[in-house]
Amino acid sequence: MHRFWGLLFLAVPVVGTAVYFLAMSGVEPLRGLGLPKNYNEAGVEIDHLYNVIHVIMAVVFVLTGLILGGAIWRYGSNREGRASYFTHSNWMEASWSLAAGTVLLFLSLYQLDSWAENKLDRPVVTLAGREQPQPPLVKVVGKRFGWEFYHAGVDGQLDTSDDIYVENILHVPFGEPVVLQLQSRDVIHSFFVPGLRLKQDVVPGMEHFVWFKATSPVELEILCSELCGWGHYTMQGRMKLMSRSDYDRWLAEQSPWKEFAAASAEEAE
Amino acid sequence: MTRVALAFGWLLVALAGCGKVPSPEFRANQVEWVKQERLNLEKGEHFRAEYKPEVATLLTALFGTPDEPRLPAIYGDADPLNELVDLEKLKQAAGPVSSDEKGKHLGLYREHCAHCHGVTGDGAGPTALALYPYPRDFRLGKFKFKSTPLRAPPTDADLTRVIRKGIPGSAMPAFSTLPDDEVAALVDYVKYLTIRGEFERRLLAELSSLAGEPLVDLKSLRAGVKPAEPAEGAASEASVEATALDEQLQTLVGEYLYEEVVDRWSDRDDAVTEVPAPPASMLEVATAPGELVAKGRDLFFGKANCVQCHGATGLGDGQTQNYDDWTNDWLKTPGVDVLSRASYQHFLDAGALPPRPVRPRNLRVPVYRGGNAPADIYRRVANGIEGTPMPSSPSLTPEEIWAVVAYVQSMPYEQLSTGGAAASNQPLGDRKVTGK
Repeated sequence: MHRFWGLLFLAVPVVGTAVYFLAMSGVEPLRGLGLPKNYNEAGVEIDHLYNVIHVIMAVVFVLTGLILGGAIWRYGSNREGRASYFTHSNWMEASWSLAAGTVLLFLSLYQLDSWAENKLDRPVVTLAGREQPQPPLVKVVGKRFGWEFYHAGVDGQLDTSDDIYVENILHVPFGEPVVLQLQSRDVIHSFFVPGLRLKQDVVPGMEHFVWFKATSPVELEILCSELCGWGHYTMQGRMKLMSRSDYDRWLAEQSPWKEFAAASAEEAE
Repeated sequence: MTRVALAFGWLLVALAGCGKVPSPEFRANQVEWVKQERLNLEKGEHFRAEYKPEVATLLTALFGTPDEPRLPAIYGDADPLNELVDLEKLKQAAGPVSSDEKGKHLGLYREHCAHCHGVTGDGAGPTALALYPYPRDFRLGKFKFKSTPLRAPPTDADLTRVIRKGIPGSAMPAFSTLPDDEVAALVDYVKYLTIRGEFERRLLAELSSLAGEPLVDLKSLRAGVKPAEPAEGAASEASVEATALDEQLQTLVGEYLYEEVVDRWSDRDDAVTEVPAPPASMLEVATAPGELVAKGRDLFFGKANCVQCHGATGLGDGQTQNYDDWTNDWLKTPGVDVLSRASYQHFLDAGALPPRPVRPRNLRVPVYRGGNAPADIYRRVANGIEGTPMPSSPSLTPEEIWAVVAYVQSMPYEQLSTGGAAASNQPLGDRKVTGK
């Protein structure tokens, strides 16, 4: 019987590794596991960190599985006498604390620059002769259950009467840094764009800024990755990345005045 | 052995599930019932208990159930209700959520709307309590954001717009990705629920005039509305046989449903408020010219008296103790005092949502629920907002209304204090006291 348990536990690292390689080589139905293709310049760095963590995890996962399975295989039946119990071992405690601590310390130091770049140092622009943080292009308001997008109108300012409101479909230009301002109307949401490696909790009463520089005109998925209530799953949005000229044209088309002018022209006919 | 038996038992339970879920039914308008009965009690009379099943049977006979909607259509092919609501679309929107072999979605209302607006359209779905403002109760027949004046129902285009674009600043989402036919089906279903609800309210309001006489002869009604045979003709299958209705019922349905409700809906397209062209100066520059804004400001504080509710700063902090019509509907009943919960507990027990004052819009935050196009704001000012304290402005000329629109549009840019710091760092919905 012990052979069976030993094999079963050994199967965990073996099957896990096999699934990983099959998924990576695109075998159905495992294809597409993992993160979708990255379309953010900074996402390369995030993906690198993600892979580093995964390599560490893979080593720990395979080692643990092999040791556990091997131990059951080896010691499962021909136990002589009782197992020995002990309650304390300074040496063991120190070694696993140190090992884990070293890995965590390494990770925290290793990611410092990316953290600063993606969470702290908002892009800077020169406005009115002085350098200041780039103003947000779109205000994103999370609510139960959806995303409200207030695009700064042709005046380039948010919170003015020509803001363009679209729900669940975010329009932004690619090829330039874009800053979004995130707010919540009710509870904690989390703004997640897997294709941009962008994720930020949105806490009511707070204001968050995220930024990215998208690389191509694609349409990406927006999700809420904070369980926010019964309709959490419905908080799906789309992000339409368009060239700057397309974006400007889109903005002009959405202008409330333009809409009215067209309507009044129709009425006149 | 016991263990095996137990495991087997559990397996049976798991296979059988928890039994069939009963299909939902339209909820009776208990709040209106309680209200009408109390008004009646003032005169020392009780309603006959039989009225409840009678009203329910009549409504089912005329309008069907959430799974099988039907239209009274007592006037045959020329029935104005057929013009208003398409039975095929109703069937697509009604029923449980599913899809047919061709992938056509069915049960749209329950998929997208019912969790807030309720199966009955009473605005009391499971999530209603968590939302501000409450989801719309269709049964009063009042809609806020529309192109028609007060007391006229919204056009199909208005309803489509709200479904497609949502209502910014409220919980109403935008169903921008639904195909056109699904939105059209939902529009018809909303009209159906509204007309049904309005008719129910009319009926309940008339009960006291019956002086204890039966509302309808239930037996003949049941016989009359039994769908004859599942024949080919869809119309005869799903509608009440006109001949089977006795004369009393004909009169009742004709008067309360057709004259008072359906006709109003049939005439709405003629009532759309035309928006005259704005002054040319408004179209030419991004922000309206100073003198127009100044004129609007004078009106805001003077003749139009916007200041009373929206406040001197426009922050929506003027009159804040008003209620909307959906609450006032029962709140204004004699003996009810909003400050004493005990005085209206019976309404809450009947399903009314706890009263919450309606907040005048904060005009410094440019979130316009009915749309931010100048024509939208024009209509809000000219027509008011149905069901809310926002009044229409019959005394203003079109030029004056445009001036108010210009001022409203300029308010987010206006400097309130001398601070002048960038104001984008205020949490939404909070008071913004610094201008740009």
